[in-house]
Amino acid sequence: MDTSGKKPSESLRTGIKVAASLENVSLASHPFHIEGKASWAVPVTVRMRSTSEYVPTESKWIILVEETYPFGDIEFFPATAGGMEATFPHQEQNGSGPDGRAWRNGKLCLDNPIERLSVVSGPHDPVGNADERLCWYVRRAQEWLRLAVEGSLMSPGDPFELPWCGAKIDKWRLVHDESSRTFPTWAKMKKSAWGVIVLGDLPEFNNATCVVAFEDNNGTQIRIGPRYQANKHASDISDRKLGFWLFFPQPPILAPWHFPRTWGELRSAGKLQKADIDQVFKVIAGRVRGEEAYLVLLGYPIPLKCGESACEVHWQGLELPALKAGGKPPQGFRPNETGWWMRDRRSTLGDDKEIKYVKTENWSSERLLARGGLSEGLKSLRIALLGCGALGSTIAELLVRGGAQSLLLLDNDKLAAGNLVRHTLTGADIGREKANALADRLRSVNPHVVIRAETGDVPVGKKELEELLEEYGAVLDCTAVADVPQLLSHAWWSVPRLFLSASTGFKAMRTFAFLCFGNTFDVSGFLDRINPWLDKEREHWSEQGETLEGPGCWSPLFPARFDDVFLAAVTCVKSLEEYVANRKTDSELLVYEQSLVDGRFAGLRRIDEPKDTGCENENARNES
Amino acid sequence: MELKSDFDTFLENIRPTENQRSEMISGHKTLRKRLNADKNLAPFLVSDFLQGSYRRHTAVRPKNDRRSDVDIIVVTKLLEDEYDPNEAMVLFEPFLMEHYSGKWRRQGRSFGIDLSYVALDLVITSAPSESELELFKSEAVTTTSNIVDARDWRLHKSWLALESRAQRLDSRQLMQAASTEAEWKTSPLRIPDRETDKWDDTHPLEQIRWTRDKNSQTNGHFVNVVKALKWWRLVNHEEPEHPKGFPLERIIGDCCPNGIESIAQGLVETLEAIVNKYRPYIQSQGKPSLVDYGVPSHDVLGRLDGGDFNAFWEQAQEGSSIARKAYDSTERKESGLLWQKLFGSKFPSPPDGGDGKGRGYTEPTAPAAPGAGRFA
Repeated sequence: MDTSGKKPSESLRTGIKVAASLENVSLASHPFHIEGKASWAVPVTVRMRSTSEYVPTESKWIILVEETYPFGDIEFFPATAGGMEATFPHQEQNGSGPDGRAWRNGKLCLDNPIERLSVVSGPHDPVGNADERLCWYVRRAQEWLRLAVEGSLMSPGDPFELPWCGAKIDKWRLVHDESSRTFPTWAKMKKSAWGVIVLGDLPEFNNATCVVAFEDNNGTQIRIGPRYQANKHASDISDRKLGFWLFFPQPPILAPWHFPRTWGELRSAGKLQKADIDQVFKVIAGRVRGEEAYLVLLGYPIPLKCGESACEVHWQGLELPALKAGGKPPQGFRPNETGWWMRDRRSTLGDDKEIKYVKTENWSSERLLARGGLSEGLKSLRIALLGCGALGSTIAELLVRGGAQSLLLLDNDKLAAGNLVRHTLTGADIGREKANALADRLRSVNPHVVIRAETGDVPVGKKELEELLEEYGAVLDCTAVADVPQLLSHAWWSVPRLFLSASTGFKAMRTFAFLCFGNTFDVSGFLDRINPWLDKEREHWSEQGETLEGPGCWSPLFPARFDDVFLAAVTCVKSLEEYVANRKTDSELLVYEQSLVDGRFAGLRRIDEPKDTGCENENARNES
Repeated sequence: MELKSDFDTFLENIRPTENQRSEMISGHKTLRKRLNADKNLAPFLVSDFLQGSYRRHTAVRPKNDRRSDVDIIVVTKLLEDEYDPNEAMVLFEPFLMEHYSGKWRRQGRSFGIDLSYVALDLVITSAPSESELELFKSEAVTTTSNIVDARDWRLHKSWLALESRAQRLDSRQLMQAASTEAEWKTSPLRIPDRETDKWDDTHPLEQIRWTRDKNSQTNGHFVNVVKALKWWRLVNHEEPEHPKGFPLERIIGDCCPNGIESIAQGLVETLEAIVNKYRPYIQSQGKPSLVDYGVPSHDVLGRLDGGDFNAFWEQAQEGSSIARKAYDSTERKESGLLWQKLFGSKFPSPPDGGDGKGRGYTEPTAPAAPGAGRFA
């Protein structure tokens, strides 16, 4: 009987009764209450028909069930007494829990969608059903154990799951950019290897620490990341921020799927791959002794699916504690590096000492864009954006968040408070040059993008304009200034490129996206196509009258709301993406117009001729 | 007045028509494809390329809807000691009969092929030296772009035709090399002389190169001065027929000053230079000799009749005085009409009352749209 005087609820008692009636499952002792977790611990014994090296005939388990059963969490743990001690796939690292606790750490992952478990218990957790729910979990655990015995918790074709690490240290905010694209560098390594990592900062990302380069022990670069700068991170500069990498050709685990929790376990895991952990760390210790803690990345290749070849290296960071210089060496050793190493080997890095794993994230652009990014063709273009106003800043935002890699921003203006109604910049930027402020903002939404900001007008001189835009494969004119298309047509570039002249009409009801490709901008194609539309636009102006900022201001504003500008920007980005994807080279003007059906917003319509615009739209808009 | 806009319109009006330009490209492409597919000819073909006024951007449309001449040169491996010019040309006749039956003819030292809007003028060469074969197969030679459309054209092995650049990932590096490294040194090609019994020198690539350089020294106006003056002769001075074509172009090349800032300036100064420079020859009833680019032994004006040159000089004298008045005039209408006198109706008439003087303030009819009515 639980000494707290509490009793499990009626629902839970029912649930336990049903679960305990399953074949090969029995209640080991009375459930007891866990105050701090508002849960009940249900001790069960599970008997297995078949066994293996790590799965005995009988094993003891603690099921933690929240008081709110049949709602809330249900978690399966091996019992401290009589429970399995190995770590398997789809299980958290199964170390022993704190002294006195009845269960180990190795929670089973039963609610992830491993289809084979669902064959037995059904695919959906019957939340709310007191009779069924605990039983459902127990059946899944039994199936889990059966697969564990067979060794097929990870079956060919399953998504590969990393061995559980449970890193806790947050302060480094460590990130890197490993992907299948960078894999060939490592695929060549058939044996364990180690070297130096060069670290940098991502100031726009709360000063996350990022790996900017990997080097071997001779200072030769193995590969560099996108934030590498030759003038800051080159190997011959003495004040570089460094760390170390240690690569294993296979995951450094202890069977069946246990990631090293202690230094002793790491040594054992290394030995399985003929990697002498102590030999490596002895050299590292010699280099870092007397300094603060260092980062070490442990890496190994992983596949996308079980049974497939590896496609990427997974890095897990650990913090090498600061190693003291000087002090007393162990008995029989001199007070020198060898002596101090022996001291560290036995104490700070002793077999039983827990490794201080550091939270490490993969911020490769493939991962960051996994939820949806621009097409490869568009992302890889170096894009010059002329004009960082309402439309330009929004287009830039869409491009950079979508994965654009290299941008030039040009604008001659500063941000004013009145711009905020339709701009991506914020109040903190008021008074700043738009190009510079926008560059800062965009760098903070994509850690891989390289942005160059220039303040000033579009150069009038042909040579200056040609030099400015020489390296860019796409030139986006978002100035809405009549001169700019002319200037672009006077210049000529050897390597042809894509041009987009983007603008909106009155109240941003219409979007004009003119696209062309060649050694220069097709200004006559642009004017021929857009002039009939501008004639049509004039009708709106003459009906509406002027928009002024307020009393005392005489110069007219161009009315356009942010939601309408945003739609226009989205349209321009999609048109650009299509043009690139279809490898078009002909000049075309795409005109999109907001449409109303029965007085309600019905999206944007593409219109081919000025005469095709709907009358209803125009009347409705003019009234608003 | 320079009337830049009117001259732009004029040049647009006298250039070969859209049909002529596109048929030039398609006709040449088809010819090239057929030549290379011909089992009998292919073994001794090196390459073919566009030469002449189309390539140099100095072609004007012919009068009276006549076909426009497109000059193509076919480089072969035929050795001079095995084939005399006539024998070499005869080798091509079965090909022409097969593909252009009823549309081709032998015209002295070249073949003419009539298409709908253009007439291809095909001239055959003998074998160039081994070391130059790579040159003749390169994109710098075989491109169909003229020197204005491909304004970075250089005779270099890395130079890419405009159409190739978008496809290749190494365009930038190749074009960088093409623009900074030295151009190929080339020798003249050998084509039939006018009597077609001997091989004689010609250097179309050098002519193209010279024109390119002259054009860049004249801010791009040289080729337009050539076209305008060709038109001036066609419209105002049908007699004498010569000088025309390349000899006329050569004369203009000799006289057009560098550094001109507009076509108008180029026209008046070229005509004045023709008058001043060649006056001594007129006084002695002679004519200058002007060497062909790349073939110093040829006098481009060698076959020009002295009397014709004389008449031409007097026309230039008259023309230069009209041009000077037109250029110096500060009145739009007067200037426009004078230029029109030189160039005929293809030069736009000045607008009525368009003298740009004191029209006064006009009341706006609608509120001004900020900017041009577009917003970004």
